[in-house]
Parts: sequence; structure tokens; C-alpha cells
Amino acid sequence: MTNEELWQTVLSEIELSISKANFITWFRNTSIIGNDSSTITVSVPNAFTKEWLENKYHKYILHALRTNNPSLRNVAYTISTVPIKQAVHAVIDISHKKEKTEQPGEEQLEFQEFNVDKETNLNPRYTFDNFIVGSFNELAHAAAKSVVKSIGTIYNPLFIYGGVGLGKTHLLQAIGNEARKENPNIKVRYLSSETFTNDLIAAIQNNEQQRFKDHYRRFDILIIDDIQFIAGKARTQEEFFHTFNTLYENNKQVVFSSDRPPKSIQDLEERLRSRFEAGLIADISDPDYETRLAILKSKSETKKPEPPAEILEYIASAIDKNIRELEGALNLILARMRISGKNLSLEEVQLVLSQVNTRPKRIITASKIIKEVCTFYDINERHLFERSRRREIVKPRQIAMYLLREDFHGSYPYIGQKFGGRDHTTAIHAYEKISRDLKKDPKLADEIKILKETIYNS
Amino acid sequence: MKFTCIREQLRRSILLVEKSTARKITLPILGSILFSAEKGKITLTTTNLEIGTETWLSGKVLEEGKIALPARIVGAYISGLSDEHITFTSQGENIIITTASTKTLIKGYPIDDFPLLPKVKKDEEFRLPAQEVRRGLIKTVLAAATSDIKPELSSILCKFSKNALKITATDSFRLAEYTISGLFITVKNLPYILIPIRTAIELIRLLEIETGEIEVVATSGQIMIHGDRFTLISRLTEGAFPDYERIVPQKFAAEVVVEKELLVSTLRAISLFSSKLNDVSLALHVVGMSMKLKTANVDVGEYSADIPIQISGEDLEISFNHRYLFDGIQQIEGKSVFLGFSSATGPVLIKEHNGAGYFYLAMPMKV
Repeated sequence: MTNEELWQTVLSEIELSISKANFITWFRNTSIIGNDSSTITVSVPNAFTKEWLENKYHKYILHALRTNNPSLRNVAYTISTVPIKQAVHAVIDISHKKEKTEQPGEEQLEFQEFNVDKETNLNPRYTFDNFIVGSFNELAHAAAKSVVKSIGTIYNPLFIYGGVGLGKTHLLQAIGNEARKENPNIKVRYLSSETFTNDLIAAIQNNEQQRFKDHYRRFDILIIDDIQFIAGKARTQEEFFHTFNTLYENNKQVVFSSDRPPKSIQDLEERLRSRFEAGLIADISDPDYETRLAILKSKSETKKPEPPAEILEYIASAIDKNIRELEGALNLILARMRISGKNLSLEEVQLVLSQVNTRPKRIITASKIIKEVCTFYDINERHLFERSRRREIVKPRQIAMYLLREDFHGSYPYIGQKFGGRDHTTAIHAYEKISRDLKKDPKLADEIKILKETIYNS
Repeated sequence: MKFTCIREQLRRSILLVEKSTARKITLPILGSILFSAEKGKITLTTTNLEIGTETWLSGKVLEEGKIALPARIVGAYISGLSDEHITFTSQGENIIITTASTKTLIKGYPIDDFPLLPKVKKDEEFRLPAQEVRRGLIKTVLAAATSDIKPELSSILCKFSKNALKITATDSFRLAEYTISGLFITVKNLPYILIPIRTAIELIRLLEIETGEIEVVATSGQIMIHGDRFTLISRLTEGAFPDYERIVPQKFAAEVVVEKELLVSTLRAISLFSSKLNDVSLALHVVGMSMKLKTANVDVGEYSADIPIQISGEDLEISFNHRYLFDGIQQIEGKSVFLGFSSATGPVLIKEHNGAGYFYLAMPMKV
């Protein structure tokens, strides 16, 4: 007989001998937590119950227990504050009225630091349950879930990459939170590569390298966000390499995120790159319209007043890249609705969003595109304009032409002219070739994506 | 049981303990006061199984004994009496209350059902100045969470540091900390305790008439507080209070000093005109040495006020829940209030201008 079954028999026996009110009051949330041959330890929720059971019901309890175990000598009571789901619920009607307390709305900011678990650095808000899956992120999501199921064995390391505000951090933290939920004893640590670097610097300054090593090597799951910032930091990379190896050899799970795939991270040591690529690389691309709408719907479900479908559809179509911005726009609309106390019309929504959405657009010039392409491929600008047909020149030249056409909307003759008086058919050929290659060469696609980012962000 | 006592004393004693009763259909005894008469002393005990309170008064005990009576009826009846002397005489479970002009019978409860107050192990024992503790509780309890979702946030943290006791509460939107300094207490095993908010509110009431010091006995999970007039027993909240020290801003983008009464009356006006979100927007102008407070409600109207301030730092625009600001500013003693704005999205620190010992933090709103 398990402790649970034993206590259940005791309870049903006692229930007959005392009044229902007393039974509910004093036996709610009790259970047996210790059982050796002579002493049984009963866990009680508070000191009042302990006092009462010890003084008033001890005889009943002892008697009921002895019928099952004649050798029992003693019953001890101990206060346990961890609520126990159990037994008495069958007889206890839940007359628990939830007090209504006014919770501040979404607009009220809170001390964010409080939500973060000190030990794991995870924010419990991020879970798989509130992660919306679409075709753009289903691989990453599936990989993350299977990592939780078999920690350190199948996809190790897991490398997730994708653009800003698409849910990488959410997915990473969900891995940690889910793993902790399944096994609370598991040691998880979530950190940004910047924190790792800072810790390392602090350790070097204080001459505590060993402590640093030991600290990071004791985790079962190490999750590092934005690993691309490790690029160019030789000492951090070295230290990280050793930490990674130690964890990997001991079958500990490592998870990374980055804004680009390992092969596109510049200034990354080759041995580290190959390790990043050893497990599974999963990407998160831009969300499709349906997913954006689904995200908006799930976010606004709990809100009052719930915005009408057409407004959600409009927001989903107006903001097409970044999920974080999508949520920001929704929150803005909701706040406006709450302040004015009524639903906004579609026109008003358009007005509000146009105010937010028109970010100061950078003026892109042809020379800026050419300059960035040259820096990216590390060639001299002069070569682009020459008649050279060397491979290492031809590709950047074609990419520059492609970008001039695609992003700068230059006419083909203009583009031809720009590159040393070439014919406009050359420009057409370059544009079409790159467009074609983009579809079958993911590496090229990455390169162009990063190039675009640097052109627009610098 | 039979005793005679003075009405006014009895009335006050009942007032002290009746709040820690509970109205439960399942266990009506929790709505009762246990009267015990022995050796010239009448003790009144109540409990709701979370808090237990005891108080006592002197009287002429003619026959020792105990009786449990419904708190609401006894309380209301005694406070309505006009005769000075009251005699209680038990008749089985019931009581007969006689005065010079009246005779009443009140039905009691079986006293065996009355819960036993737990004994508290003396792991830690120290004395604290009663009125300082009361002040600290009053000034912090307003920042504690009222929902039970996170028990550590619906509790008051009492943390001992060197020669000082820090009393802190937060609901994660605001935070208040009061420091009692000049103490000489060494705690061995309990570096901090978490007092549930209901216990704290009860304690504020009980401490009202206390002078001098109270004696605190604590063990993990339980606390007992002795005053001259009462003994309070309560459970303590288990868990860890958030590591709040790191959120207290040390540097400010803008530091403002403003006359307290002016700000309070402005916020009162704002409470009439703010929207359902309770939002008020603040605009600080360094050059104009002014703070513009603005709020609007589509159904009621609009309000704006420009008040003179002393300011150093930069111009800032920020929105708050006006109630959060009001709560904090209300607790400030002295004529002028210091407001330290950490950033447009970070907390504001409110304290007395040039004052120490108390501060209040509130997080802004994004509107």
C-alpha cells in the first residue's frame, strides 16, 4: 500500500467519526510524507492544523493507522508549506471564492528584473504554449521541442538563427523553461554572449579563471543568445571553445541563437564554426500573413475590448517583418481603444500606424551600395569599374548591380553607365543571374541579406 | 464562569481582536471570541487559522472558566450598552450578560471546538520600537500586492542589516522601503522574515495604542508578537522576496523638487479627469522650471496643470498611474518632495527632499 492509499483509508475512516466541517478544516492538504516501520510522518499545511491534530485527533489517526499497521508506534506531524494536491478534494467542495483584485493593465510597466529566475536567468513568460508556430519557424520549433525531450543527445548543439524580433529568444527561453518544468533539478543557464564575455573579463581581472570555468561547466543546458557578438573576440572564443567542448563531451545540451548562420559570422574561428555546425541548424524566417494574423489574434484574445477582425487584418498586412513590432502596434491600438473607450475605425488605425511605421528612412545612394559591397567582399572599389573578369571581382560587381536595380531602382542603362560605361544588357544579365542564383544558393541569399542589413542600418 | 468588568475596557478589547475572526460556514467557531477568565484576568482570543490574536483586561473573576461567543453579536451588543459594569455568567455553553438595567442571554459555541493557538519556538527573539514598526508598516503596506498569486509579493519583507531593520513591500509595479535605524539586534538564523499583508494590516491596528517596545519571537514559518495589550501569532510567508536592491535607481536623468501640498492637490484633480487607465502624463521642462501634468477622459473632460519645480537634468516626458504617484507622495513627511526620474521607461524614486529612511518607487506606463 502506498502512502497515498494508506492516508486515503485513514481519511475515509476519520471522516465517519467527526463532523464534516471539522474534517474539511483540519484534514485539507494533509498527507503522509514519511513512513518507516515504527513512525509515520504526516505533513500538515500550517501550525494550527499541527496543534489541532496533535491534541485532538491524534488518537483517531493513530488508531486508524494501526489497523493497517499494528507495529506502528508513533505519528509525527510536520508543517509543510508546499501545497499538496490530494485526497480530501473528493469530499471538499471548493467554496473558495477568488477575491477580485484589480490588476493593472498592460500599459503599466513593471520591475522586469523580478520575473527573471535568479538561478537560470530565464523569464518564465516564455513557454512553448504561447509560441505560435507557422511554416516560417516550424523547423526551429520542432527542433527545440525535441531537444527538451532528449537533452544533449540528438541535436547538440542546436543553432537557431533568424532576423530581429522573430522569436529566437522566446524559443531559447522556452527550451530552458520546459526542461525545468519536466525536471526541476536540471541545471539550466540562459545568457547572452555579451554576459559571457563580461563574466570572462571580470574573471580575468580578478584572477578567477578557474572559478569561471567551473561555473559554466556545471550546467546541463547552456543557452547562449546572440552568439554572433562573439565574433572578433579571440580570447572569448577560445574560452568558449573549451567550455563548449567540456559540455559537449559530457553530453550536456548547448543551444545558440544568432542573427545569421555560422558560416556567415565573420571573424569566427574555424574550429568554433565547425562545432556550431555539428548539431542542427534551424532558421526562423519572416512570418507569413496567416501567422502574423494568428499572433495578433492570440495576443488580443484576452484583451478587452477585443479589436475587430478587420483591424487585426490591417495590422497584420501593414507590419510584415518583425513580430516584436507587430505586438507593439497591437498594444498601441489597444491602448488607444481603452483611452477613448470605443473601437477605432480602420482609418484611425491607419493613421496611428502610419505615425509609428514611418521610421526615418535612410537615403540610400548608389555609392553607398557600392561601398558596402566592396567592404563586404574586401575588394578595392576601383576594380568594380575596370574591365576585369576575374571571378572574385565579377561576383561582387553583379551583386552591386543587382542591389542597385532591386533596392535603388536604377535603370539598366544608368547601372551600366555607373560601372565603367558598360552596356545596359550587362546590367540586365547581372540582375537576372543573381535573381536566379538566389533561389538555389542559400549562402548567396544570406550574403545579400547581411549586405542589405549593413546598407540600411549603418 | 463568572466575572465582572468595565464596559469601556471590554469594548476596546473586543475591537482589538474581532478583526482576526473568520466567517466560515464550514467552521462557525472561527467567528467567535474565546473568553477565558482566570486569576483576576479576562483573556479574549480569536483566530482565523492564519492569525491568532489575544488581548486581556482586568476584572473581578468570581468563577474561573471559558466560553466561546459569536464576535459580531457580542461586539455590537457591548458597544451599544450604557451601563458601566457588566457581569458575565455562564450557563452551560451560553452566557448571561447582566448590567444594572439589562439581562441578556447569548448562545455560545462548544469551547472544545475552538482552535488551539500554536506555540512558537523561540529561535529568534528581539525587541523593536512599536511606533517605528507601525510607521514602517503603514508606509510600505500600500505597495504590497493584493492578490495571492505570488505570496511573497503580498507580504512585507523585514530584513535585518547592520543596526537597522528594513521594511519593504512591492507588487512589482511599485516598491516602498522604510528603514528603522539605530537598532542593536543580532539575528542568528533568520536573516529576513516575510509577514503576510493581512497580518501586517492587523498589526498596524494592534500597535496603534502601544508605546515602548514590542517583543518578537520568530521561527521559520511562525511569528509571535507581544505588546503591552496584545499577543499576535501568525504564519509567515515562505519563499524568497525579489532581489530588489538592484532596481533602486542610483542615477537620475532628471531630479525634481516640488512642494508636496501642491502636487497632492494637483493629483486629486487629476483623479477626476483621468481615463480608465488612470494615466497622467508628466512633462518636465528644465528651462521653464516647470512640470506639466495632463490627463483626459473622453467622457468627463480634460485637465492640465503647470506647477513650478526645482529641476536639474534633462527634459523628460513620462506617464504614470496617478494613483501610484499619489500613494507614494502621500507618505512623504515634510513640505517638499524629491522626485528622481531614472529614465522614460524606468522607475521614479519619491522621497522627502533631503530626507532619508524612506523611499517609494513607481514604474511608468507606456501610453
